[in-house]
Amino acid sequence: METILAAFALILDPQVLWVILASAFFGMFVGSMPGLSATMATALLVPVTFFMGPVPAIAAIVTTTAMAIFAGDIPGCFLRIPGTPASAAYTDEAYMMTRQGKGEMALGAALVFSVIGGVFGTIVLMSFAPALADFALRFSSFEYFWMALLGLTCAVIISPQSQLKGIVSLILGLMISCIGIGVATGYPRFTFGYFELTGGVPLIPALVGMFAVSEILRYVVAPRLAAPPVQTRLGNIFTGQLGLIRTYRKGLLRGSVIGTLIGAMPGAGADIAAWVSYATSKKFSRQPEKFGTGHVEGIVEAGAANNAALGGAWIPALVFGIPGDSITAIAIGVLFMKGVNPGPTIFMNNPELLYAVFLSFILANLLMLPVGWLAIKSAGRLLSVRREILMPIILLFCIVGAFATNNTVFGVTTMLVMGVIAYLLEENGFPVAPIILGLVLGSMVEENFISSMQKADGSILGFFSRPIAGTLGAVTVLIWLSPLLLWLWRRRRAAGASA
Amino acid sequence: MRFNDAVFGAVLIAFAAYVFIAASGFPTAAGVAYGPGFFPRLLACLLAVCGLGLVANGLRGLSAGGWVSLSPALREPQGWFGIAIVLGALLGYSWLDDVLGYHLTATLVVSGFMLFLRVRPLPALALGLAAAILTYLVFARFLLVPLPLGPLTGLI
Repeated sequence: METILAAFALILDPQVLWVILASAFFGMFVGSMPGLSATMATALLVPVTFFMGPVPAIAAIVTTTAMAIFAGDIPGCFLRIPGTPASAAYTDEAYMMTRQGKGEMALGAALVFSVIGGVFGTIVLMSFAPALADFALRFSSFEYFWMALLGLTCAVIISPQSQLKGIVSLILGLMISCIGIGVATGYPRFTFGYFELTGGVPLIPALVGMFAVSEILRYVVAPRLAAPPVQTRLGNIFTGQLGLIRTYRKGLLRGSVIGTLIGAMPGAGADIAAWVSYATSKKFSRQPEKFGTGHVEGIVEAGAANNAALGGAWIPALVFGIPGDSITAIAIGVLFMKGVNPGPTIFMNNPELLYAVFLSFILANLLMLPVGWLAIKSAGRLLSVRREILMPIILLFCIVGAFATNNTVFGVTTMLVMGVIAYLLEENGFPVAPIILGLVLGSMVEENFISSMQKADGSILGFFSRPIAGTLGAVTVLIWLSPLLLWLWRRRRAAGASA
Repeated sequence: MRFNDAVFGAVLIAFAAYVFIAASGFPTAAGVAYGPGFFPRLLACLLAVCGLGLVANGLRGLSAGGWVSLSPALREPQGWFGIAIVLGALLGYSWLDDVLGYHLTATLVVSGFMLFLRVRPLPALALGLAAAILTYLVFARFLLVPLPLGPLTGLI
């Protein structure tokens, strides 16, 4: 109880409240700009959080992402362009509804069910994280090694294009994390004589480069289309939402559960949660034929799912220090910079910080109702912000942000290099999220790997010698072997069929 | 700009070889079984295997796509010019901010980029200056980042 009161005191600090409010507007703005994702919003925010304490820093990230994920629905409804990838699953549906004059219902549902899903994800996070942390306290380097590897494996498996390319991205991320003084050995590796690299590749410029500069590069080579005129006059968005909650309560629950679960899986985030629950919604619907014709049911379920995923993603991040998606990967990087090490010990050493994070989630979700309403009301003006004015200003913001982390232009150069690498990789179908996971988790993987190798005297069997480690290891290896097993199984079945 | 997977694979194999060789040169303290070079070398081996896979993939699909295919925007000079503008802005900033000071460099970066994006000159200049002043106030005055003043040193 004392912890919770302490957490309330942390979060109700006027400075923190201002940060949350400002982040809410920032998140709404970036999320509603097509092409600017929630991850980019987070990356742009990180240089500013650098100057804050851990609580406002995390509260800012939490609020911004929650708002951005909802705000992505706004241009989806009006322009048929998803503001963030997490809205893509039901953009057509929402646009269809707007065309049929049901825009207020679509956006209202997106907003209301985002809030409900978000709160659901937070409640799950609050109730399960401490118990899981208790369990995780028994972990040794073997378990941590497998946990991290399992997380990284999931991130690769889920990569939308080729898994081979996902693995390459991951290895590149791990390699980048090797730069600088080695964790176990104290020897400066791959610093090329740059003093600035002895501490490793600076994380903030790297993030800004990978998620913002690459986006700007993509923008300058993309054909520029004039924005279509927007019809944004809507009725009351909250009319009929209670009825929708009653009608689709099952779907709402299913979307929230699926969203939280998928969010908690390392590597999969809000966008995959939305796709999966839109599909399940259609599958279990009584009127599946209406999907795709401007039917609100899928928006209810997937809209709840993508916001629930945000809370879910924090479960592995806080309990094991293993991020659930690229946003929590950034957040973990920020926590490390603040001297807070996510993992089970955080539940013993900084419980008030943890509950402050939970509270900021709830606060952010409740704040979403008024701020979201405001954003929908001013959608006409928001959507007419000209990209050719916005992009140069974002570029300047990137530069100052990269400079500000260690007050040298080395950050700007790092950002440039990482931006070009990320752009080239993404153009060629290599996902960027595994790079960031590898970069953030690299030193943890290496440290636990080396110390496990030493404990086990170089024997691979040692990695399976403890019960939890053995189970985690077996699951990981099974996932690695699954393509081969699947292939063998298909061959046998084909052979059986022809015989 | 899309390269055939084989091109990427070959580059990755070369990169892996470099990492492996460089990491082999890291000193390992006496009595330590796994030195600073162990993990990078392991990663290099994995990367090389993936590179081989990409080469195999790429050679299989070579007839369809060729070695390099340019996105439509990059077939015209405009697209390349755009990339040059962004990279030039970042490099230019790194070189010029000490000499010209933050305000002037930032205005140059923002206004220059806007002009390239066909914003009319006067609004581009005004917006560039406004962005420079606003970010200066936020970062230098509020967050105390020592942005260089250049010729304005002592004046503000």
